[in-house]
Amino acid sequence: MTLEARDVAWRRGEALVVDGVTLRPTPGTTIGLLGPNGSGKSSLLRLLNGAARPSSGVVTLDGAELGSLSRRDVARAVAVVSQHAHTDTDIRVRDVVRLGRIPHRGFLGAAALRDEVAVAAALEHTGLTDKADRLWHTLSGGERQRAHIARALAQEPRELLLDEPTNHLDIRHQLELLSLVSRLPVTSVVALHDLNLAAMFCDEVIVLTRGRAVAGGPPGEVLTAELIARVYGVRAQVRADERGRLTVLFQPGPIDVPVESWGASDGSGSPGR
Amino acid sequence: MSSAARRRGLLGLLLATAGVAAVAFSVAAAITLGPADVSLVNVRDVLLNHVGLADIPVRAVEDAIVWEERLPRALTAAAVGAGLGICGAVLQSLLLNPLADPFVLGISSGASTGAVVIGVFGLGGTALGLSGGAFVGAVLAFGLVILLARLSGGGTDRVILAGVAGTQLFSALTSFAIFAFADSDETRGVMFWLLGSLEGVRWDDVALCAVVVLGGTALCLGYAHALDAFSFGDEVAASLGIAVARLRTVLLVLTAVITATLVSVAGAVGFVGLVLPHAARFLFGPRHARLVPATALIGAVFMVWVDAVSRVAFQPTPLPVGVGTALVGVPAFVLILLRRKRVP
Repeated sequence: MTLEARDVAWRRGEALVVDGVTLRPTPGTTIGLLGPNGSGKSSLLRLLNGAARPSSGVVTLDGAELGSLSRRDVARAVAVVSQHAHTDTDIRVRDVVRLGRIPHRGFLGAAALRDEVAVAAALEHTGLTDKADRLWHTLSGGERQRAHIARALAQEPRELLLDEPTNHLDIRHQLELLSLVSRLPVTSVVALHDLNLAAMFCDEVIVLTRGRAVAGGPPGEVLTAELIARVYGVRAQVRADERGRLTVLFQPGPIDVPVESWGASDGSGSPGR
Repeated sequence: MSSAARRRGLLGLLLATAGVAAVAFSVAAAITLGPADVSLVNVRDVLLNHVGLADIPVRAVEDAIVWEERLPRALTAAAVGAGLGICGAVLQSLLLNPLADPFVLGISSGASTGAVVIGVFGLGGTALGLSGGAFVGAVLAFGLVILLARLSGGGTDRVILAGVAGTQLFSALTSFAIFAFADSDETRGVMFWLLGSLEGVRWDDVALCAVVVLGGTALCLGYAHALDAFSFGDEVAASLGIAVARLRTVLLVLTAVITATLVSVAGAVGFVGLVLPHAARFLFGPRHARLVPATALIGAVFMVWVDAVSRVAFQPTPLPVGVGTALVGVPAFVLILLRRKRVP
C-alpha cells in the first residue's frame, strides 16, 4: 500500500483543473507527469500531498483518506519539492536540510542523533556535504534545487513529489538531478516538460490534457508521434535505439492530426462531464 | 546526542546566561542614573532588603527612589523591549515580510484611538483610564484587521494590506478626535503617551508585563521549529506538516495580546519590534530556537538603556522613550543594512 489517487477531480471556481485521474504508483518507481502548460500537473501534485482536497474522488495513504490524517502524519510519508520555493533569510544549507526533520519532532523537539544522521545522509545523497555551511543566497540554481531535494530526503519519505525540478537548470544538472531522483529508494512522482528526460528516467509516464489522463504506461509505449501531436500539437519523431532507449525529435511545421481531439468537448475551454 | 549538538547546546546555554546577566546589569546600572544620586551599592542594599536577604540601613528616600520608582520602571522597560522584539521576530517570519512589526496589524493606532477617546471624552471615567482604553482599542483594531484579511482571502500579503488599511483608518480617527474635540492640554498629554512613556509605572504594571512577556516567550519558543518551517513560504511549511492556517491564527492572536498589553502600559513605542529582530538575526542566525531568546534579551537591554537615557538626557524634561528608540534605532538599522549589502 502506498499513496494512491482514485478518480480524483478538482474544481477550482469554474474550471475543472483535474478531471477524474487515477494514479497507483508501484512502490519504488519513478512516475513522470507529462502534459502541456495548464494541463493539471501541478494541481494533481497538490491533491497528492494534501495541500488541496479533491472535489470528488479520494487520495489515500496506506488506505486512509488523506483528509483524515494530520498534516504531520502526511509529512512523515510524503515530501514535496515545489517550484519557486525561495527565501530571503540568511539560512545555511544544513539548516535548510534540517527543516525536513520538523515533522519528526515534537512541540519542543530537541535535535536527536537520528535527525543528525538523516541530515548528513541527505546532504551526502545530493552531493552537498561540502557545501553544508554555504548561505542560501550564494547557491546556484542547481544547488538550490538540490538543497530542496536534500530537505525532502531528510524527511525520510516513502513518496517524493516534484514539480518541474529541472526548471532553470542547465542540461548537465538536469541529467544529474533526475538520475539522482530515479536512483532514490522512494516512489517519486515528477511533473516534467522535457519528454526526452521523461523517457530516460521514468519507469512510467502519465499524460495529462485539460485535467484528464489520456495515456499512461511505460514511456516506450506511451510516447508516440501521434500522441505528441495530439497532446502538444507539435510534429515529432520518436526513435528507439537497439537498447530500447527513446529519443524524441521535434520538427517545425503544421501537424497532420487535429489538435485537442481529446479532452475538449466544446471549444469554450470548459469541458463538460 | 552527538558531540556537535552537545557543543551547540552548551554554547547556547552560555550565551543565554550572558544575556540574562547583561539584562540584570543594565537594570541595576539604569537605576543609578538620574537626578538623585544612587550608587550601585545602594541599589544592591535596597534589593537585598526587599527580597528579605538582609537588613541593611538605607535612607528612606533612596529606598523609595530605587524600589518605588526606578526599579519598576527599568523592569517594565526590559519587558517592553523583550516583548515587542519577540512579536516583531515572529511576525516577520510568519508573514514572510522583513518590514512586519508588532504595529503592522493596526495595533498601535488602534491603541492610540482607544487612549484618545478615553483621554478626550473621558468615557468610562477613571475606571478604565488611558491604559484600558488603549487595550480595548488595540484589540478592536486587531479584530477588524483580521476580519478584513479573512474576507479578502487570508494570505500573508492580505494580512499586511489589511493591517495598513487598519493603521491608516485608526490614525485618521485619532487625529480627528484630537483636532475636533481636544484642548491643548489634553492634546499634549495624549501626544506624549502616544510617543511612548514609562513615567509612573508601578509594580502591578511590572507584574502584568512580566507575566505576558514571559508566557509569550515560552510559547514562541515552543513554536520555534514551526516558525523555522515558514522560511520558504506557506506551501513548504504545509508540506513539512505544519497546520499553516491554525498556527498563523494562534501566533497572530498571541502577538496581538502581547503588543496590546505592552502598548497599554508604555504607549506606542516604535521601532523596537522592527529593528531588533534584524539585529538578532544578523548576530545569531535565523533559527528561531536561538532567534527568539536572543531578540528578547537584546530587546530588554536596548530598551532599559534607551529609557534610562531618555529619562536623564534633557532633565528635568523627559524625552518620550519612543523618540529615543527611533533616534538610536535608525542608525543601528542603517548599519545592519550596510553590513548585509550583497551582490544581487
